[in-house]
Amino acid sequence: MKFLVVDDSSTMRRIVSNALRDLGYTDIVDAADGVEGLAQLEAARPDFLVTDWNMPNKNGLELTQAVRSHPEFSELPILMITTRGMKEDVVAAMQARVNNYVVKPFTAQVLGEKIDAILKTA
Amino acid sequence: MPTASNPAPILDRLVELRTVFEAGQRAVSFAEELSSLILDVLPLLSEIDGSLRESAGQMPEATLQIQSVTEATEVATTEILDLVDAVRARLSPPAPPDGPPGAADRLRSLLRDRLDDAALLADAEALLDEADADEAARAEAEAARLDAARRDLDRILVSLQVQDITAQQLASVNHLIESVRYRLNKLVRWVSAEGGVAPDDDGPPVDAGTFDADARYVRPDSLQADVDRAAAEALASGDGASAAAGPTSQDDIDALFGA
Repeated sequence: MKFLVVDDSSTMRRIVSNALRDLGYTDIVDAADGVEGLAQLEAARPDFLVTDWNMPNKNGLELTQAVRSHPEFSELPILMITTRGMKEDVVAAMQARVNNYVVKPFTAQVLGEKIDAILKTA
Repeated sequence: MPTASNPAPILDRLVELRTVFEAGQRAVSFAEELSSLILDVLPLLSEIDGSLRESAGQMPEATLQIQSVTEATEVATTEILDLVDAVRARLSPPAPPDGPPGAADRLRSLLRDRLDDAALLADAEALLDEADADEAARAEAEAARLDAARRDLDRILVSLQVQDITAQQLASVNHLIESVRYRLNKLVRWVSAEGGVAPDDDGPPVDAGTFDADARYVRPDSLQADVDRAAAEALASGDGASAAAGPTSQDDIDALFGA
């Protein structure tokens, strides 16, 4: 299963990728913002998208909306990882149709649980 | 019409004139006070103008310093991540032995072939079994020690997420400084404008930025339960009805959010 990790922080891209490898997912590509993420979506054709919210150019919500309106990737599993933990943020993310939501700082265990939950319902 | 026998209209006019004169005197006095005040305030305005210019001028430097702090922490975090990766690679569990039998097994086989004394053979095999058990216990203890070290490294990886969180907090401070600078510059132009009319050119307003001003570092996963609850409530209330084609039963919610 190929993962696309989109985050403007190189630290977070690396931490998320490390956690995914620990969970057994070794096929990982990444991007530094929403625009680059969309380009990688077309180029790498991932099976799963993990995205940050606050990013330049195109934020995680806008990226999610773009993916959901893409004819080929509208059902792509999307996990949002963000510092935003307010209820209205969660509701906004769900309305944009992310499949699940993880708040930073997170552990690899929670990341694994959320990915499993998404894949179980996919 | 005033007449010699009726001077009242003249007197009325005189009273009106006196009132106007008194009002004029008050106006002149007010104008004098206002003029004096303006004379006092002008140097003050000039000083304010200078202070505003100085403050506004120092802000870009402050912004750059904060930006350099963010970059420095990112570089340092990357170096720590490199080290963590290197240590994790060294802590990988050793591959199971794949090759000829170990020394103990070879010795066991040799004794069975060459030793005719059954009692001695039994004692030797018992000793070898004991040595095997000791070795297995040592290997288990070593594996547990490596596991503990790996868990510590995992905790370091979680802690390093603080870099992203503080970067957002610093970006928020920078945004605040830039907003204040924009308003100060506007004020400077207004204070120093000819005839009190500020030019229209305020420059581009400060960009909204891409940070979470409320980002905070808390115990890992401590906010996750609140977020899961908020998501479940939103689904139940229909706020997030468009999410994932709308699973609305509790089972679906639990399944979707891994409750």
